[in-house]
Amino acid sequence: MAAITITLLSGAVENEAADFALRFVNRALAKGHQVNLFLFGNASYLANREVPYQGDKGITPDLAAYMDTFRLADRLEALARSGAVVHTCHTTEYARGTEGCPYLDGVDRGNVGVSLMKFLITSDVAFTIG
Amino acid sequence: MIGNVSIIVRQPWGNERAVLGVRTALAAQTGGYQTNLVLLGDGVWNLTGTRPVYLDQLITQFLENEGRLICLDQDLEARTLTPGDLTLRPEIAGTVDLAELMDETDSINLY
Repeated sequence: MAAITITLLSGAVENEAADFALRFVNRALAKGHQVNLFLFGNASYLANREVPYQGDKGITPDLAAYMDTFRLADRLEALARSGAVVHTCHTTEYARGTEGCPYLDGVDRGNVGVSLMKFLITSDVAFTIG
Repeated sequence: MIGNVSIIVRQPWGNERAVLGVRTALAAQTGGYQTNLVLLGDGVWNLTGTRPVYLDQLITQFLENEGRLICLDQDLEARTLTPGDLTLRPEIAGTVDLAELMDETDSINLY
C-alpha cells in the first residue's frame, strides 16, 4: 500500500476538483492506502466549520438542495475519521480572513514548510488537484 | 519515496496559484528535495518586468538554494519574448528536454 499526498487548490464550489479529490481520498482509504490532504489556496475554505444563517434563506428548496451538493464539510470530517490526515495552510487562510475560524474535526492548522514537507517525506506519491 | 520534485506554474503572479507554486518550490528545495520550478505557458510572464518584493525574495532564495528555474523556448516565442526581455535568468529548455526532465521527476505538481 502507498502513502499518497494530495495538495488541493480549489474550493468547494468553483469547480468539481474538491468533490473529485474527496472521492479520490475515499477510494484510496478504502483500498488501504494512507492519505494526506493539504488544503492550499481556495481549498483552505474547506477547513472551517460551517456557520448556518439563522434567518429566512430566501432561496427555493430546489436551489438549496442543489447548493447543498457543493457542501463538503461532513464528507471531509468523515474522511478524517477514516484516517485521512488533513492540514490546511494558515497563510492562505490569513489572506482570506478565515485564519481564526474554528476548524472541522480532523483538520489541523498547518503550512507549506512544515506540514506539506512532512507529508512529502513520508509519501510514495504526491500531486496537486485543482 | 519521493526524491525530486517538479513544480509547474502556469499562471502569472497576479494569480495566487503562481505564488503558491513558488512557495512550494522553495519549501521543497530547502527541505532537501532537488526541485525544478518550471514556468509554463503564461507562467513565463513571471520572468518579465517587476514582481512583488515577496515573490522576488522567494525566487531569489530558491535559486540561492540551487533550485532549477526552467521555462520552455516555445512559450517565450509564442509571446514574442526573447531572453533579453527577461528579468530573471531561467534555463530555457526545448520540449524534448522538458519531457525528459519530467520523466525523471518523482512528483509533478501543477499550479
